Amino acid sequence: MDIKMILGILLASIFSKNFALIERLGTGAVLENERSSRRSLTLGLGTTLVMVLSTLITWPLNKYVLEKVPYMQTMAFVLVVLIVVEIIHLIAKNILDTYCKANFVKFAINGAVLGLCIENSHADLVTALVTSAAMGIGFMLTMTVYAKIKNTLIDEEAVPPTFRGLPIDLLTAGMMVLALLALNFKF
Amino acid sequence: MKKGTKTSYLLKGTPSALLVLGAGFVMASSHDIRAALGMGAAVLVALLLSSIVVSALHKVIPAYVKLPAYLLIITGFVSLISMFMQAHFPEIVDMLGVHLAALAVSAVIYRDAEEVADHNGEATSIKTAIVTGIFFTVVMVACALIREIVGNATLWGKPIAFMQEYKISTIAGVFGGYLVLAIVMAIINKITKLHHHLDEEEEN
Repeated sequence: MDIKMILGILLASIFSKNFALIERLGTGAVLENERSSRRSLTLGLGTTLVMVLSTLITWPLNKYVLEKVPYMQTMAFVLVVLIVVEIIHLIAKNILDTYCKANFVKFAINGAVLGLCIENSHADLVTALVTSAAMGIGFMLTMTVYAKIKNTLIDEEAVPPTFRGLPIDLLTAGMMVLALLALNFKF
Repeated sequence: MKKGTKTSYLLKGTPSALLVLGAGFVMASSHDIRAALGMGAAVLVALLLSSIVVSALHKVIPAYVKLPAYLLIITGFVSLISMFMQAHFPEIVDMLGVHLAALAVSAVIYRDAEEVADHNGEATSIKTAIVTGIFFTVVMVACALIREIVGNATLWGKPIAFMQEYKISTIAGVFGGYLVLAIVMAIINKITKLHHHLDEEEEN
């Protein structure tokens, strides 16, 4: 794997295959996020670490154990993600709980992590690990940019009452999707 | 909070708080009415079964293992549903892709188990699960109808001849998911507010 390919995976993860906005995995975690940029970045880094470590365990588990029992894949992957998140939480409890209003464990166990582990099981290990790190960075950036737009640019008073709350959040995220898809010329 | 008093966001009249948790799978499965119905049925059955088991077992599960225990109960049911659908409706499983498996860690089902089934008996849990499941199915089907007819000019996968020239393919795409759900949610907000307003007037 050369630098060109790594750069390609990184760009795809942030833009054209953005997990939270384009693939719609872990969208709830992003839409609910109202934290400051620093808190969002720290939480995003925690989630990236969960993604990479989970892939590091689920990839060989899938290749050497789950091939004979594919129906156990979701159950085994959820268990691995759960253990990884608990270990990271145990090691960095103080930092993560300061930055996460809700429990970090509940935040980090989301569709994006599980979906990534499942999708990565079809690739080779190096590609899977690079993809995990890149998807984690994409997730972190999306969360941070979305929270920044939501907290600073949107004036709730200027929004019609029925569109306040989730509808305007969805439209904001939709505008971000349009911007990302414009780079791919595919909307 | 007293035991047995927690109800779902939906029964408290705040559907947007619930819908934000499941926005991802609602948008991902509302591009086609068959996928929306499949996902709706999967959410309803997963909610119902996990609520029954959690409300029956919550007293014997120690507090410090509740999160892993509840997640594994939900994952077990989602895996069962996934296998059933793979056997009987493989084309719907193909349409839903990884989103069907991702239901296992969906905050909608987990919060229902944690906030409702963990604090109430079977009857309340079943009622909440059915209401929540039907709500998600209706929202997904409503979005899918708009997106399939306007975006693809098809219904149930079959082309609508007179719509072919007027279809707006953006509606069927990723952005369309956000746009249509926002509009549907705004309509729900309007109805909910109107309903609350009428209730207040009746009380006065």
